[in-house]
Amino acid sequence: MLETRQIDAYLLHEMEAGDLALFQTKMIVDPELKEKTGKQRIAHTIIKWFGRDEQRKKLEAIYNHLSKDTEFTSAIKTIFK
Amino acid sequence: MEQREDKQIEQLYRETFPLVARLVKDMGGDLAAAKDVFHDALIIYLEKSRANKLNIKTSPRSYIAGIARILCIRKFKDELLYTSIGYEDEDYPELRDFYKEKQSAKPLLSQLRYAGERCLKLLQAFYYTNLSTQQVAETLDYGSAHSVSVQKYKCLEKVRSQIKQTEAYEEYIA
Repeated sequence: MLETRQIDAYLLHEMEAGDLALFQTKMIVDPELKEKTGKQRIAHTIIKWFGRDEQRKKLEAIYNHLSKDTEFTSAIKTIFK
Repeated sequence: MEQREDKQIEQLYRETFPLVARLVKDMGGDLAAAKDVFHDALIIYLEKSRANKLNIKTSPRSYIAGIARILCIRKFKDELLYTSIGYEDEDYPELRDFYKEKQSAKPLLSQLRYAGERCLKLLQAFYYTNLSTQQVAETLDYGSAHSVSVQKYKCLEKVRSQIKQTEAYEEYIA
């Protein structure tokens, strides 16, 4: 778990200069660490996409809620009449 | 905290959607297109706001409409004979990442769900919503910040391991 935490610190630019240099050297000599770092970077991206997907669902729910509001619905209907 | 943000988003939605809907209508779009464009623009605004990277000189309403305008031009570019672009994409570098995601996300997200709902909510709170460990503990009902921290890395390892077994991730994201 310590390694996962260190990789995260590296990917999120939260490492001190000395630790960063050491970590970068480790990646050169340890292909497994380099591979794990690459996969963890992909994990961050996919989680972000998942977050966006969930946010879209929330916005759809807000639209459905506002659709019950006469003033809001009337304004939208006027635009797309 | 989440409830307060939800209320703010709803208010922003109520005030801004008609403005964007008018924009989309003027470009030949329908209600469904207006919702798509507006939701994407609002998501970009929220992400920047949560990351404290929102440096706008105008109102949130105008900012979101500006992003929506770019998204709209992209969406309808083949159908337009002439567009006067008021904003350049270079002003919104986050849009590039957004287009990439739109094309790639679906098949990958379904596989990500193997990590389990609780894990995904936890990771989302950290890496998407940018909550602190303490905020995550309170929002998701964990006993302590320490247990949240331990669980976060276990979940991340689970997702990473899933990625290792699936070559498709490399293909889509590389």
